Amino acid sequence: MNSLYKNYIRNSLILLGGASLFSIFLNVMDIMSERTSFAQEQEAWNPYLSEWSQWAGTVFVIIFVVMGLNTFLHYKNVNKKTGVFIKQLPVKYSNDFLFRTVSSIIFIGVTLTVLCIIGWVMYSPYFAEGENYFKQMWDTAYMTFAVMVLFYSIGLVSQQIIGIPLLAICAPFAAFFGMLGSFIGYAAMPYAIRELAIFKIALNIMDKFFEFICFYGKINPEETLLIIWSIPLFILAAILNSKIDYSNMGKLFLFRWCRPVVYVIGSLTFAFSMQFVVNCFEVRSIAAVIVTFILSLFAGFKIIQYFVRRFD
Amino acid sequence: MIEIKNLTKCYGSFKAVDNVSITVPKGTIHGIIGENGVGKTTIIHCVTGVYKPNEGVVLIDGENVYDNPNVKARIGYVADSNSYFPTYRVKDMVNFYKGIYQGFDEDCFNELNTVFALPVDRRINQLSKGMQMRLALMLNIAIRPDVLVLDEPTSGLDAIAKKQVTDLLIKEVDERECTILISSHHLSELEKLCDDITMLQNGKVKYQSSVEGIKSKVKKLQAVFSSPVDLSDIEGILNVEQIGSIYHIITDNYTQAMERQLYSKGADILEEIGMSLEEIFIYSSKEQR
Repeated sequence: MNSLYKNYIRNSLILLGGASLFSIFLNVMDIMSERTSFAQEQEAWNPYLSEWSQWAGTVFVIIFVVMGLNTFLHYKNVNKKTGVFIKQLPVKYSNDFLFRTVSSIIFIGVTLTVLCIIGWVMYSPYFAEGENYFKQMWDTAYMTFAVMVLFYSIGLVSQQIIGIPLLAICAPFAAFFGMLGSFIGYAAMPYAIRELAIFKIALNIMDKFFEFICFYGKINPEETLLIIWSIPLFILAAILNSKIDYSNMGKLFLFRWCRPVVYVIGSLTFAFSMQFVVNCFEVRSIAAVIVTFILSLFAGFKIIQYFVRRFD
Repeated sequence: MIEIKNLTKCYGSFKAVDNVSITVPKGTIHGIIGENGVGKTTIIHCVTGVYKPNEGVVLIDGENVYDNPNVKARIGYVADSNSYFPTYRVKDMVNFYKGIYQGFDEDCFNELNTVFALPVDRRINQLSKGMQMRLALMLNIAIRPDVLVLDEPTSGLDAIAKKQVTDLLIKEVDERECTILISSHHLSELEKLCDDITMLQNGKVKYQSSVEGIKSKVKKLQAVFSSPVDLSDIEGILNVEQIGSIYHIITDNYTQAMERQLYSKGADILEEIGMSLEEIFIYSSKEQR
């Protein structure tokens, strides 16, 4: 295996290590706070156990962030100064693309497995005997794997078209998650659910995403179907990869039309996402919703503008 | 041997390089000069296989470069600014190169490092610009390339390091018959180093010849006129500077006909003055502006 591929694996392993440490930290904090609050009372463990499935949500969010970072690292390698260095190396472009794609899919699987094992090791002492949590965990893991592979394939296609699509489009989400963490998770909600609230809302968002991908429930969200959907996208990405010669290397957008598309999609996504926040405050007035929508549309535009100016 | 044939490269609708042809014979040094943005780096990116030409071909010993690992393995490329992985240490980069280039000669790298003295445990992002340039040179010479492409190789280097680099390049050509393509703004260095020069203007070749050939084409004449004259009607004059009755005339078409025209306009004295490559470059650029 050549040094370039080893470099990709090294980056992925660093991310995997980071994700694992983060998940251990989250769970240790979780378990410690539960122990402090409920002491020895067996009964008190029940709500804790019932919430265990939130672990899947935690994994989902962690892997989403990690995949975003992984894609970003790959982007950095392909489209920036380092990209010029990589392009000059005696490595066939198609092999480079294939290796990055396959290694990323393996990386998703490995990350998921490691996170599940961590979850299993940390939570299994609290499971009632005979309950089949293990199977439930792996079912969730498979669902997460399928969705992530689809997300990755979408990301890869758009990466070929737009220089740094994930960062630009996900910028409003980053801001959104940040706001949730600071305003809602730690201020508006009671202490007992603070830690879990972020993941509940994150899961809600993912559910909406999932519905969107599946045409709002018209197609049954079978996990395997998602993986099958990914295949033509991977092929499309490979074709695009072979067509683009990276003359615009270092530019944020490889094509001029990508800029308005990112602004429009990003601002709208942010504005719609902010409706979750509005719902949290139980705003019922249509006028208030419209005003917050317009305001968040503007805010989304400014956030994307910040990222575009920073990276273009 | 490097053969660039009718190379055209566009960025969208902008034509950065327009129908450029350059041939660099084996074991020679060829310099590309021109103002910022005339397409020097674009040509270099095409030669190193980073960009795919829109038209024309780039051949190394008869083989196409783009997406051809076998050819690219024989090309060393020193970019104008660091593009290595910033968190890698120098020794990591050596290992990286060893894993990519089969011909990488670690002994050669170590030998070069006795001259350039780079700290191998230091990370790339902790190296100064000059140190990064030295590292790039050492790595790319250690792969024992047949073709070495250098984009501003002496930028950020002190005078001693510049001399070391120049000596190193000459040694590579002498001992291994390495073919070198250099783009640089340090024209006095190129003048000493290069066998041939290509001067670009607006993405096209303006002059292409040996250094002496360009010097013999573009000339500076010192003429003394007893009264003021208008020389704008004489063809081939790039620039005229007047100090009193003395006129400094730059021309790329000095013929007997021009000489006769100057005398007919009242020139009392006419003599040729030697020009450096840098002066030729400056006057040619002035003409364009």
